[in-house]
Amino acid sequence: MNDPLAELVQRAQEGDRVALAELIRETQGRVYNLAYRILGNTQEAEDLTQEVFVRMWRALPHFRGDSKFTTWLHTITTNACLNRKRSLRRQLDKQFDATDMLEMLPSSEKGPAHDALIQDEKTRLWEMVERLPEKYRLVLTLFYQQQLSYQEIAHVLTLPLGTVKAHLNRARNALAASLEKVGIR
Amino acid sequence: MIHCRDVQALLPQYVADGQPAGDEYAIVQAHLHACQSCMAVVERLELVDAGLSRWPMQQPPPGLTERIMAAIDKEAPVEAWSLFPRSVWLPVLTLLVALVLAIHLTPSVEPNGAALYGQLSADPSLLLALWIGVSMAISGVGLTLALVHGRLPDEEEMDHLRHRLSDTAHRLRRLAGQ
Ligand SMILES: [Zn+2]
Repeated sequence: MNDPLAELVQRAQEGDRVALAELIRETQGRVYNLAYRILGNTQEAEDLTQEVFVRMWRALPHFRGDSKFTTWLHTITTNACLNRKRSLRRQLDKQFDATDMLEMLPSSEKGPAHDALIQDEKTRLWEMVERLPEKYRLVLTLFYQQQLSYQEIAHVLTLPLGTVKAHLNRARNALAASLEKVGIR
Repeated sequence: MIHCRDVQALLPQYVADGQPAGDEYAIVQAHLHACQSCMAVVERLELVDAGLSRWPMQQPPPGLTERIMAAIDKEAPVEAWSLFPRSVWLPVLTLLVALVLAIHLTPSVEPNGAALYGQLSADPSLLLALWIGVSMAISGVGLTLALVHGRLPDEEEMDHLRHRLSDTAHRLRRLAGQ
């Protein structure tokens, strides 16, 4: 396994504090952003980031490099998120959900979608992502922002590969439909 | 003739995979050439995919690393794993003491034993009862200590235990491999 962080990880495992701090500095952005996407609040995201790294540090002696360090860290992070949001686990396990597609479509009232119309195209897309149910935000973040592969996401969320793809495709569809509904293309 | 709805179900993956060629997509491609509304869906999906691929990372708040390191330092050092943690050896020890007392120090009715316990030795059965009582009391202390120290493990300790088990399994496999 060719992990660019392998050397830092090994030094941190040997008790090197400088290496540990460096490892945290290198990876805290991923943890913080993932937590922020799921929890939607900067203070909670910071709390969770601290919690994740304390857990990481405790479990570090047992990390053997079977997977990439970041994949392992993502697993700790999503587990911590799922612990805070108990209902998210149940949502994730449900592959087909008739009601959530309705929630995902922007309402026709003057709301965020309406406000979004006067912003630029890119901001509009983020607005729409914010409005998706959290399970879709989670898989979208893991895939597009954190750039995990389908396999890695399946591993991190302990979901079948097919379910991961199904969640992502439904989210993509919902976003495309939202674009149409607010009048982009 | 393939229905638009069936094509559109395949489109998100088709677009995300970069519109691959191949037999399984031949029908989709043929349909897209002929159907404007499905082609419009492809364009919107491309917009979504391209937009999401440029997803910006937020800068974490300044000083976060230092706060994390401080949180780590506050943690009590993880207790080293031992075969006999206190919750095991303390009750075991008291039970052993009780057992030793019960077996070896039970007053005998022999002369020197009788001298040791003075008056009470006049009635050996009373002494025996007394010693059984003392042994049982010490055993009770041992069991109580075991119960006091025994508590349900929290999630982190369970994680720790799982790690330890998988680590042991890993070592055993390696040992078997050699
Ligand atoms: Zn069509």
